[in-house]
Amino acid sequence: MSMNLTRRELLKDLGLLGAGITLAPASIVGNTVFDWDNEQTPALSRPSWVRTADKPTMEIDWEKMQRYSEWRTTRGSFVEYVGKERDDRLTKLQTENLDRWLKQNKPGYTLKDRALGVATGQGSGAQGFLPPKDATTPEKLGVPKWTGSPEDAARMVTAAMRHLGAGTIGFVQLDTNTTEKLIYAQDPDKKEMKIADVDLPSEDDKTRVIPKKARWVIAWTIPMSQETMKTAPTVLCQLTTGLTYTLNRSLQLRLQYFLAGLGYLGLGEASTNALGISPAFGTMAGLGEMSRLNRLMTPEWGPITRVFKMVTDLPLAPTKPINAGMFEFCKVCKKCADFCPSKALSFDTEPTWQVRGPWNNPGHKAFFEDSTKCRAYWRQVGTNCGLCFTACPFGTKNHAFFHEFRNALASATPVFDGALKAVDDWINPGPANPELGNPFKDPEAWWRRTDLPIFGINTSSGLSEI
Amino acid sequence: MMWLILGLIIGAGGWWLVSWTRARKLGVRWYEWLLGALAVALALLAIQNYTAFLREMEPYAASVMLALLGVPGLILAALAVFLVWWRGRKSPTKSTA
Ligand code: SF4
Ligand code: SF4
Repeated sequence: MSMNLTRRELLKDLGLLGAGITLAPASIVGNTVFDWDNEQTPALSRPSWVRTADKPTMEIDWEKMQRYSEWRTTRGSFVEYVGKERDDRLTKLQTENLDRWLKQNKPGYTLKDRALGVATGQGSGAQGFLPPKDATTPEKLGVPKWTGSPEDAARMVTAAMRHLGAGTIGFVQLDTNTTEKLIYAQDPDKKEMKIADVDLPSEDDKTRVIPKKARWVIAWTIPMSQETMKTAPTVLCQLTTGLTYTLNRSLQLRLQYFLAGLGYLGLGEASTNALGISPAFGTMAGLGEMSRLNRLMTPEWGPITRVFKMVTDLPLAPTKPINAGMFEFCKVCKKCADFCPSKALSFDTEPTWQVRGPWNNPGHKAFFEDSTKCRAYWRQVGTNCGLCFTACPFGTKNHAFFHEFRNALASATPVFDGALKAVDDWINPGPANPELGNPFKDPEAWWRRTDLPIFGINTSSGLSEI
Repeated sequence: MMWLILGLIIGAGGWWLVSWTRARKLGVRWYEWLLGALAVALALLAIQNYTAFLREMEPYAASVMLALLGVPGLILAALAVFLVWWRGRKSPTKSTA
């Protein structure tokens, strides 16, 4: 891992950091120095250094933005982008590598890693767009549907979802000229996502119909295990993503039952990553900011989380976007781009409106990635890699005071971002042996730990102590 | 619990140090007390970060933070002791504590 700083720059940064040490307590504790706007939404409790904002930190040109079709990402169109021949070669390579590493007992790719990987995908509830038909609705019970203010609804849904396993929860109101464009034009299975003036949702072979009256989106995170993630790019690392998707399938179904039980619609993701653009809804709901990864970065878990969403006709008080200085930090940091073995991530200092390919959706000023390079590397290691996530200074467990200090300082001002990144390079210098498939942290050490939290997640991170 | 014990140790240690320097009529100046207080603050930060990074299963980061915060703390503490000793060697003075 290169440090990208001359000694003179480093000393200057450390000098600035000294000044930062003096200022940080003010930003952690109070509001006077930096004109803090720590407005709390009715539903979500956030760390004290997270400021709400009227607009996301990433610029959006709503006029330019059009509804995007999910299947155009490399998830659905990789072969089209790289050609059949290269795809076949990569498939062969993936099979060979996984097979060889299994037989060699390569840490992170052993039989026990593979077995746990398969196990984490099991036992989830059925995943569907339409609400469950057998829900106990107020109608069946002979009572009127639940009513209350949008603020009451937001609080109630947040409480329910925390109990069901969500990390953070936010709400976006759909508007035809703006946020509605974040609903996919076509789902991963190429079904058209229609928004129509109908009373009930429907689905057939070609379309899914969202009633126009369903104007609210519930967006939520489910954090992943940082310790498991740190074994990237192995099978052991991948399975924390898999587990999160499995957990969410159950959560989504339960949320659909809950909303139906109140007398409202809950329209879910028909499959993984369906319905709408997750990082975009997460950003608009204030669950986090966009990042150099072109993914959501949260104040609580950094990028080590997954984002999900559901459309509903239950009126919910929208939560505001946030500014915790993280998107700004990315301009200086570039650590994920450095770590990325396929050099898929942007090294630009400023975000751009210029997309890198049809896998990106135009209309936002972002750090666009070359998704084909990333996917090709995934195929070589046979997993979903994740090395960039493990590199991120914000993807920490947040017990040490330094993390709190860094977060508060980065949120208050970008002046010290370079110095904070320099300290992170010292404490998180990267994998000792960055050979193909070699893990960032030792998977065998992970298997020796019997004291990791349930699902590997610190569920109280960023929330008030309970 | 660790912080309660550390608080008790620092409180008792501080009280003992003030009494001891007065009894010995050591001329401790305000800036020497300040250096000492900064050294204690850095030591506490070093301990917090060290133990917390170990809890985070990051032993390398724990050692780096221990060095980054602990070494300056030790230097400040040594400087404070040295200043008191140096002045005391040159001329016996009255306490300002
Ligand atoms: S997942 Fe791996 S290959 Fe893809 S961008 Fe991240 S580090 Fe690069
Ligand atoms: S590693 Fe650095 S540049 Fe990349 S997402 Fe994290 S903070 Fe941003």
